[in-house]
Amino acid sequence: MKPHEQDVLRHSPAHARPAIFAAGAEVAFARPALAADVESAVTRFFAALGAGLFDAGCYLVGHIKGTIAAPGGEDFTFHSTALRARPRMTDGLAGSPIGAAILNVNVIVFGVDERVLQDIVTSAWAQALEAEIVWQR
Amino acid sequence: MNLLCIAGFLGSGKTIVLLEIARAMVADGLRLAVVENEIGEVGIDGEYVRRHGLPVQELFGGCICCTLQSRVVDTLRTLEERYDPHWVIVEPTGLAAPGDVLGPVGELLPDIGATRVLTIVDAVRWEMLVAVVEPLITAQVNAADVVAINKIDEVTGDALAAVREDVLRLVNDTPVVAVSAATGAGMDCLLGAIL
Repeated sequence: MKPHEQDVLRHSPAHARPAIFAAGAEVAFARPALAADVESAVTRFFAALGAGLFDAGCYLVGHIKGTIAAPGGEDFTFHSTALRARPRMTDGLAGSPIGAAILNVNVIVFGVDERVLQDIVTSAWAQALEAEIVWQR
Repeated sequence: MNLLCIAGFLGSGKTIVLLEIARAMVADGLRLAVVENEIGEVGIDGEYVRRHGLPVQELFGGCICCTLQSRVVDTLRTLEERYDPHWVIVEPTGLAAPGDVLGPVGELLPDIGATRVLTIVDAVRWEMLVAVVEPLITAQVNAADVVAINKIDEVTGDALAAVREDVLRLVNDTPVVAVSAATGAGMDCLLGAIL
């Protein structure tokens, strides 16, 4: 993953230019995870992400949203527009434990360099899942 | 084919409002298609909307009011050929200026029917957003045919009145409707204002 090398947004004034990170990765849970385990991982992600963005000078969250999709296609979704509020989560998983999943995440914030944002998101997921994250797109 | 553009800043509730409007339109026997625009290379909302049974065309990696503007017309032509919809609902990224989305559409698709812009205002974050990204918020509200102040279930009556006063100062005769897409409050009134 590289930060955007081309302008994706010509009309936004420089003082309000957002940093954007959108990517997907295959992730594995240390042990088969039920919805409660996925929710715990997402909660840990938001805690780490919020702290990292705050320290980096983030002054506005556009959105932080994503999905964790099981191999069968069912998924767990999350969404937030604040650094410290509890995210809105929707459990659409089928109920059986999952060992691996596809993580998709889309984060738009203001006040943070795009490369720094990528590092913070990657680090927050690595903490939440206790595993290395390799973004694929 | 008619066009409804649902604009509004990131996190204002555009997708939930879209689904509520779509549900009501489908219940009235109308055929719909949806265009979802995400500024990043990975979309989230498109799949979510698709699971509600709606045909979705996604435009990734830019903003349809500027860098992806030329692709909107091709996308609308494709949807018309494939689904012959009564309405296409376009959800631009929350950073888009909706007036710039519809300008080329009117020029390049002269046979298009009604075009409407619904701008969603986030009642919870209005004050902060105006302070930080005021030109964009103003452009989104000014382009609207209808403004929906969303998340009224999360603010006090006084806070809602303050937001409504601010919005009314930006628009002239544009209808302003207070809604909660999450609870359904005000949605019937909003549908009446759009259609």
